[in-house]
Amino acid sequence: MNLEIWLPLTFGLGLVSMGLCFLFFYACQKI
Amino acid sequence: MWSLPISILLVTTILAFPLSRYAAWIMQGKYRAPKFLHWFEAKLNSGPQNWKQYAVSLLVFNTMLFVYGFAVLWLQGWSKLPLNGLHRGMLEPTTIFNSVISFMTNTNLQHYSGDQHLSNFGQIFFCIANQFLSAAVGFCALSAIIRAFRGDPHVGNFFVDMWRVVVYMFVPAALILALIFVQQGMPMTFKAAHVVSTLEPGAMASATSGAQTQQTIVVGPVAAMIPIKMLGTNGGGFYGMNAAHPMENPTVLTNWLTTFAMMIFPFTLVLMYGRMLGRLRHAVVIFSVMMLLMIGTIVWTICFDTMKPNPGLTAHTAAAYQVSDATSSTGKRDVPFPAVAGLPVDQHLGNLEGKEMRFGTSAGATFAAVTVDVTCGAVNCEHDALNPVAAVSPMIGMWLNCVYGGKGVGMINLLLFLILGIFIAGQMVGRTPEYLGKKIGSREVKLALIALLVHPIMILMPTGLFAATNWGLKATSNPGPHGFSQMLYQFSSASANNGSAFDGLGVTYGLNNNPSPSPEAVPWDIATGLVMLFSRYLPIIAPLAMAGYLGAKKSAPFGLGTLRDDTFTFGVLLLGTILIVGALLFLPVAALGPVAEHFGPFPFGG
Repeated sequence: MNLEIWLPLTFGLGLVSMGLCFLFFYACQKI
Repeated sequence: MWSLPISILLVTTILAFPLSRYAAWIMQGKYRAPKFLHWFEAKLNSGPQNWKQYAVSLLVFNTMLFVYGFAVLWLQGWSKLPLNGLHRGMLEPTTIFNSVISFMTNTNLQHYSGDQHLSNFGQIFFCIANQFLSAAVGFCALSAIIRAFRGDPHVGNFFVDMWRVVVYMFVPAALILALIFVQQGMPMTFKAAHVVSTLEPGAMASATSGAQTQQTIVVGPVAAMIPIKMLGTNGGGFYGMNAAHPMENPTVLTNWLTTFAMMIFPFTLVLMYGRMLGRLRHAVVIFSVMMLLMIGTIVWTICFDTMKPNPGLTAHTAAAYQVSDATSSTGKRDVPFPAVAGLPVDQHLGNLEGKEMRFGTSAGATFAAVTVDVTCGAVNCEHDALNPVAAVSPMIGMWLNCVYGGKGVGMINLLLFLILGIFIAGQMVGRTPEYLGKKIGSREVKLALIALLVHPIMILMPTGLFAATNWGLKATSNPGPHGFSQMLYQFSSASANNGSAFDGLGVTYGLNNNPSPSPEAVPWDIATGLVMLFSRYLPIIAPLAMAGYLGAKKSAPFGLGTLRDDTFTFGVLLLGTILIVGALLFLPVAALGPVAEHFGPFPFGG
């Protein structure tokens, strides 16, 4: 696989997903 | 047959009571630490936290764990790193993504084979490290929720809690088990492999020069990994065969101890919940409900697998079957009968396919039921080879996700059902629902339901998507309902943070230089990775919030009309809520998979 594309892509996907969890945390405070 | 499950359940239950007293003592900080340990703890203590600060600390810590794990696996092939005697290269990026999320979420779903794809450096600094830390996260979340329920002004400090769990609970228990495992024959070395000449000449075939090929037996710090693999309900094995491998699970005693090890902390935490709240009777009611469900799943699996024959090996009348196949030019594909159908196979010992006979006939079924109940995911038999109806039991364990469950999160999941049950009971009698003297409002119910619904959404939606596309259809190894069950099990396992699988699904890419990876490995890696991540953290954050808001309310005085939570009636209410909600959510998909497989008409299912 093309590491120059897939490595940063998968790393970024993980960080974005954790970011969504943070967003969920903030959303829980609005309920 | 029954002595194994009975002995394990009895011993674990008996030991859970004193261990819960110890766990409560530790988590309430009533111990006096030795000076050098106290120094570390003081450094970690960033001060008392409210539920919001605790949640943020938890998320930040896990994000750091993701970055650390990614770095370790990315650098595996780097020549400067030690302990890579077999010169393992880098894993493929989506396999790295899946594996890092898998281990940091305590799932340990392995889309790779440890002995084929990881170096000893990776096993130690990625697997073992994550197994200690991820296991402690759920434990800490439950402790924070308990303190919130008590109405404490602060829910503790996440980092101090992590320290307490790892240093005072997991490390001592793991050390004791590791010493026993070494004595029983588990490898414990930094060496990468032994290269040996086989007893039977030519067993490993011959090289073109005519020389006999030697066998490479991968070894490493196995006895360091297996204790925390089980104690932390991680499940990720050193070897791809997991607890069916003779060096990962060498003897009957190690099999018994590994089964015990994965149960002891989930059992203990239920009672710790009661002790810390000062409501042990309430915890015993919850414990009893969970015990009933666990006995049910174990008995179900043993009855339908160990006490029934393998339908694929029982005689069938000769017939040809065709199934739909979108990849075929005719749109159909022939399904051959197993070659042994019609032979006089003696199956008085039940379904032995995929079983390790050295543990006894019921060991595989028992382990299968227990491993999914406590969301461990280790396996000592091939779950793909369980009889169809028996395979419903592991799925039920994952779908309910509250039969003891993982350390901490199982109890948290049960609290969600509990809040829902109390809410429904309150509606039925026209009283405001209350729990632990606090009135349950709409905000708490909303948060509980959001947390409860994450799990079925994360199972059913991806399963449907993959079943309707080539991502799933081209990855299954069996036609029809069993192939569907493979997909369903994979997403159920990911969502429940279990980690076991119906092997046979083509989800492994492995090393980046793999010349023939499974064609659909990349979408499976990404999909299950995302499912594991969201199913881990969303059902921790929402209950933390719920507990924080509930705990801040004023206590209502106990009255004649208050629903008592330490009675048989409450237990029935809780059990009914779990079963009805679980059945409503998952019965349809069970009918499409294992139940359809059982009723045939395929030879693999009756």
